[in-house]
Amino acid sequence: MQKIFVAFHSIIEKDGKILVLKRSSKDPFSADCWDLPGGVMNFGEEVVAALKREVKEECGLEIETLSPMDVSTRIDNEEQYVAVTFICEYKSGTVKLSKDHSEFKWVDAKKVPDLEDLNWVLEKAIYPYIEFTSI
Amino acid sequence: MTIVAVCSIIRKNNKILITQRSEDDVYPNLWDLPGGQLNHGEDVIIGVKREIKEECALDVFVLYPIDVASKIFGGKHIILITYLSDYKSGEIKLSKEHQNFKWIYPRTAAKMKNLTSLTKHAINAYLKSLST
Repeated sequence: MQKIFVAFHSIIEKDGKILVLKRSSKDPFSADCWDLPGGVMNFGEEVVAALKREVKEECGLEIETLSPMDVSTRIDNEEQYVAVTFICEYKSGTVKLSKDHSEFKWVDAKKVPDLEDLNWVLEKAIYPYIEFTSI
Repeated sequence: MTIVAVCSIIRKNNKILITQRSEDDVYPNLWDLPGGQLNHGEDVIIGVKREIKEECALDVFVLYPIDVASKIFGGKHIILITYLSDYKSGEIKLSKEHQNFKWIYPRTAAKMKNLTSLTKHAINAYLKSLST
C-alpha cells in the first residue's frame, strides 16, 4: 500500500553557526552521515509542535521556528518521504544526543558541504540556506 | 491516513491570486489558494506547477516554501505546504472545483472572513515574511 511520511528538520542557528548531528553507525538508512535534528511527524500532530518535539528528543534543545527553507522528497518502493527543513533559532539548553546519533558540531554553514557523507535532506537544504544567509 | 497537499501564493503586480471554492464541494464558497493533493512519488515543485495548471490554467515560476500547516479533516491528517510563485503566463480558466477568482492585495486577503483556515495561515505567514 502506498504511504506517505512527513518529516521536519531544523537548521538551528546560534552565534553564526548551525548544528549538525552524525547518525549512529547502526542507522539503517544513513549510517555515519551528517544530518539535521528532526524526524517524522506523528498522526494528528501540529507542525511547529512536531518540529520542537523532534529537536528536543534528538538533541535536547529548545528552539523557535522561523520559516520553512526547503522541501525534499524521496521514494522507497511504496513509501514516500516528504522532508521539510525549517530555519530555527536556538532558544535554550545544551546538546544531549539520543542513541540515534554519535556526534555533533556547531559549524559555519559554508563549511557543511565539505563534511564527509551528508544525509540527503541536509545535502539538498544546505545550498539554498548558504545563499539565503550570504546576502 | 496522512495526505500531503501543496498550494501557492501566486504574485502578480503586488497582488496575489485567491480562488473561491464551488458550492457543491467541501468548504463550499470559501476562498483558498490554488493547489491540491501531491501525487504518489511526485516532487513538490512539480506538484505545485501541475495543480496550478489544472485549477486555473496558469504557468508560474515556483520560488520557495513559505508555510507548512496541518489539520485533521474527515479522519485524515492533512499537511499543506505553501510555495511562493511568480506569475509567468496564461489566462485564468477555472476547473469545476472553483466558481470565482480575484487578484487581491495580500493585506486585504488576510482580513477576509471567508477564507479556509489553512489559507489564512499561509497568507499570514507570507505577510510576516514581507515584514522581516
